[in-house]
Amino acid sequence: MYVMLTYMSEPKPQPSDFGDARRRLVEAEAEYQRARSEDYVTRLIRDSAIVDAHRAGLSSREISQLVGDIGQPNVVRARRRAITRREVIPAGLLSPADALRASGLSVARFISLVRGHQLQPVELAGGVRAFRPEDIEHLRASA
Amino acid sequence: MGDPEGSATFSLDELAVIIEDLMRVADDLLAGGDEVNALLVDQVANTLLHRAFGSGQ
Repeated sequence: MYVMLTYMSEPKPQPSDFGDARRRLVEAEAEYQRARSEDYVTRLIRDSAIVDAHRAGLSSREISQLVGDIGQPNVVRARRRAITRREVIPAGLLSPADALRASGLSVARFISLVRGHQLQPVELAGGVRAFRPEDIEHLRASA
Repeated sequence: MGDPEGSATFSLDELAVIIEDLMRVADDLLAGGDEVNALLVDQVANTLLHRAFGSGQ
């Protein structure tokens, strides 16, 4: 089984300019802060705005200043390499990378479980996939 | 890679190694407090994981 990736000599032009990227990042961050639930979809939108801002040329320092608590849940999870009820995002889901970290499995094993339907991701709008914390916890327990 | 644009094909094993390396870089960045770049690297890892999962869910 093989996976094909497309590469290009330069990033495709973004529809917005530098100022628009900053404005959209500020708006996404404001929405993220309003929600405060750290819902996975809200976080995805905010993360996407961060990527766009980076592509538009904003420095990491400026992005950090605009975005308050970037990656805090990730930091906790990455450092502890464990998942508990307390750490689970309220009503939230885990990104594939976070789920992989929390599972404690190798990358190859994790991919194999998903491809073999032994670990079912949640299908979200736009083809985005995320994972339920309880599924990952069960995976850890049975490993 | 002579052609500046096109496609590259990787086996799942090769892709797993790439993802593993990316996540190690992200973890190192996090440990150093560079959370923005850690998140950007994580986004790449997420995209590759999506590809690796395939579409036949």
